[in-house]
Amino acid sequence: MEMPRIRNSSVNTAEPKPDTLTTKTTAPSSKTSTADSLESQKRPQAPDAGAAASADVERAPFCKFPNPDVAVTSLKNLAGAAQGDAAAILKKSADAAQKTRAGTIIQVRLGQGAEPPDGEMTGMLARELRNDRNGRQQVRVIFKPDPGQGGPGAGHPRPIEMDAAAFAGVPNNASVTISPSGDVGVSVNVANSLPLANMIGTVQKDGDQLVLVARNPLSPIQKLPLPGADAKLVGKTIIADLCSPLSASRYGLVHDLVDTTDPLEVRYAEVAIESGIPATFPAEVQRQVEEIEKTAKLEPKDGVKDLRAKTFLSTDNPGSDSDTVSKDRDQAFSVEPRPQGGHIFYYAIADVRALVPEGSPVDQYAERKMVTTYLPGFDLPAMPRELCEDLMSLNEGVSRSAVILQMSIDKDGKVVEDETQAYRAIIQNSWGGSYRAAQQYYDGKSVPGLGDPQKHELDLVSAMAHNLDTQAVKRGMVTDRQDGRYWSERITELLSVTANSEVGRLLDTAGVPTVNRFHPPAKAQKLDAFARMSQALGHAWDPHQGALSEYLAKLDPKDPVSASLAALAMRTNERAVMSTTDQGHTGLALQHYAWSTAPMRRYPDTAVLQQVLALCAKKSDPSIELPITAKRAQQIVDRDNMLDNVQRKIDNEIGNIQTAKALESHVGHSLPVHVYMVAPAGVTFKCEDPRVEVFVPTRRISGATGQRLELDGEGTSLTGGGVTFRDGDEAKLTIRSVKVEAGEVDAMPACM
Amino acid sequence: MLSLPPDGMVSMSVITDRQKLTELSKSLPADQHANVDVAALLGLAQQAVQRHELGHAEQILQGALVVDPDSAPAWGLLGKVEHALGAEPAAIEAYANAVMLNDADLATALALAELHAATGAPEKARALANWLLLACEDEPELLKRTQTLVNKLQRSSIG
Repeated sequence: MEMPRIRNSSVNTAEPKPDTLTTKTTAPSSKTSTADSLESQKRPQAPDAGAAASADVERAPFCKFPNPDVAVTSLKNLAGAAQGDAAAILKKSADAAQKTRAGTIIQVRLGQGAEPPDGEMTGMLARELRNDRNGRQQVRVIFKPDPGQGGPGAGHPRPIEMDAAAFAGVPNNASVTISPSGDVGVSVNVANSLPLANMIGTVQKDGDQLVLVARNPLSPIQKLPLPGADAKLVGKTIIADLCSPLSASRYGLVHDLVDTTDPLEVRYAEVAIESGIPATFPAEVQRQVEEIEKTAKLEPKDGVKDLRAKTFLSTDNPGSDSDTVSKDRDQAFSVEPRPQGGHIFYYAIADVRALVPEGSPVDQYAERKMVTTYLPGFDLPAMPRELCEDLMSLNEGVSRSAVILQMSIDKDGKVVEDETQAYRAIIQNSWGGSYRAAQQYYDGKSVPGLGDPQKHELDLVSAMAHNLDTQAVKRGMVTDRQDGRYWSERITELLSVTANSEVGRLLDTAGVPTVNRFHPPAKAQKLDAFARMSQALGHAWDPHQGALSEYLAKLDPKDPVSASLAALAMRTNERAVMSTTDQGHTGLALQHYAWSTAPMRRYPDTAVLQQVLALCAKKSDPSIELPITAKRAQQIVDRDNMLDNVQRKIDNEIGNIQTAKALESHVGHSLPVHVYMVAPAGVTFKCEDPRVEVFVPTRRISGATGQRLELDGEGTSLTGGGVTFRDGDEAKLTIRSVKVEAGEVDAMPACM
Repeated sequence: MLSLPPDGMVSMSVITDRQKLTELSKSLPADQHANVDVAALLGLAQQAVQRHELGHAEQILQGALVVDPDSAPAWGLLGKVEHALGAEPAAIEAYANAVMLNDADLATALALAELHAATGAPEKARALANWLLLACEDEPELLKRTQTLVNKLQRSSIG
């Protein structure tokens, strides 16, 4: 698949940076965790969404936008401006972008009859399209309150429709707080949401000026003046840096051209950018990167070990079905036998703080963005690529600074707690492969570039991971083993889970502030409901006779009813969140858990690693101060949880687009499917080829039968009008039409 | 025939009269019924409920559903009104339509389950309650009420 390229120029001869990465259509949500994938299980998502459930581990990166060189080049070449002028414009852009968050309270008068809220409420703003009476599309902005507000008995607070025009410049899926204002109004505080940083669109002439026109009718900004842009850009798709996005005098500065032959990739970028995910880096961030490039030196010094003699490897890519290899390599591993039995495990993690001081422009940017956003075929990184794909990335064959988590794993797969160490080191990754390549080795096939030392390491890590896996099942980790992933991918998962757990334990037992990943235990009521449903489906689970994890491990991976049961079991999980208190991770059956193994793509990991390094160093020098205060940890937790909600919306939208795309060539045909999950509002069907889930609304089916369908069979079937859809039933689904960019699929069971 | 203001919004004075509303809706092509502002009608119906004018609220909501038969909030509120008026079959019908159109409204789904249980349809009540228990997130009150319903259904089935 071609990637969208932000090019230096389309009118000069400069070629985009070569990017050899390719990927299959794979949902970004496919890498979410067991607990984190709950939302995606409620509705049909992307291909592979059903295979998402696993442990709460790393989100493997997709390939990337090529390095978006700053606009100086393109402005110079496109507009014919002197480079100095272009640089001045660019600086103005960056300065303006820093000053756009002054006003973040929007006063809105509600429509006739609409009830203002009783008090302050938090929620999300969603844009929706409806046709007006002349058939023209109208944008509505709906405030969707977070659940659980309004006190006991309040139930679900009702969505509130807002005046769309008032929210121009506010990102889609913005996290906001609303409160009553006046008799019929509300004030909406958008300060907590991501500010809109960019806009993608097509350049058009509007009178005597150029404007950037959104392709998407739901874009937060439909038309943006582009002062100073060159007429050669007319008709081109570009990305602009936004200045004063919330003000009526907003404008854009050309950042670069977007060059792709696939409009879907522009659509993916739009989904993220229109939700406030920045796609470009401000000038001060780029300046810091240039400075780092000039001054960065890598040499062993006090407190930094030289581990370059050890054989480190990495396997890291989007998933089992992809041959792409990540460019931002956060981790590499080396394993050696432990004299007392078991293994010594060296987990090298990219050392962000070696190059990026806390509070510097790059650090501030990464904190604002919090995570790298993964889209199909590319990503929008949390840090400039010069850092996360080069200077900090544990790339093959180069020396890099790393934080080493050194752990001893006994022969039963348990961490020997008093032997854990954390320190800085210089390492050299000797082989960075894909999961598929590593699996080929495990399957006895030859793998180019894999020498004997690397093969030996792969054997050692596999043996250690088997011990970790046995221990994980024993302690009750809930894992969907029917997701078709390679053992090589599961190894990476087990390594990260082990490291995160050990880091969490170190910090929490020392009582120091940190950022934990908290996965609450499943509620007894939910487990009881699942037990009744499993009985109705003929595979009864008795909670008194064994853990849910053991029950799931015994299910037949090829049986559709088992697939439905696994999906239902996952819904007993609570959603995992970030937390400053150490409350454990139920899905992984761990008492302690703190994300720490992906600092280049998750900001909280940087903070946690910083803290654990300081904690370990404190043993020899008690005067060392811990860098993360309780207040700071809380700030990171709050921001990460807020952005997680935005990311979920993006993942859902992208997943729907991918599903529609995967079904495009099947329009007019019937596909073999099985009923994956029923709900009052519809049936989710699961198809294996293409691997997608399709949701068919009950009202559509009822329209065909003339009777309403309702839940039955303990909630495992939907019945009415002479038809029944039961979880696990085989069926045929006719694909009537798709609207790919809108992510819409019109399908009906063939029996209708 | 009534004329619509240019922005497609219907003024309060027009929409308070159900007959006029129905006439208004019929004057529009079928695919444009939904453009009459159902949100405004809903607000009006809510105000009528607050004034305990249930019959009036019922009329407004029925009118709203002529305009937009796929309005889940209108069906949900109609269910409440019918339930309060003692019209249980009509309440079930309205709640079931609401839940079919939008099962994210868990409070309405629970109201339907409770009504099924009270009107001799325990299987439907239990099916919905099980589904609700798995769907609840961050809503302890709803979870508690649903579990209470399940317990009640289990006791009665044992009894």
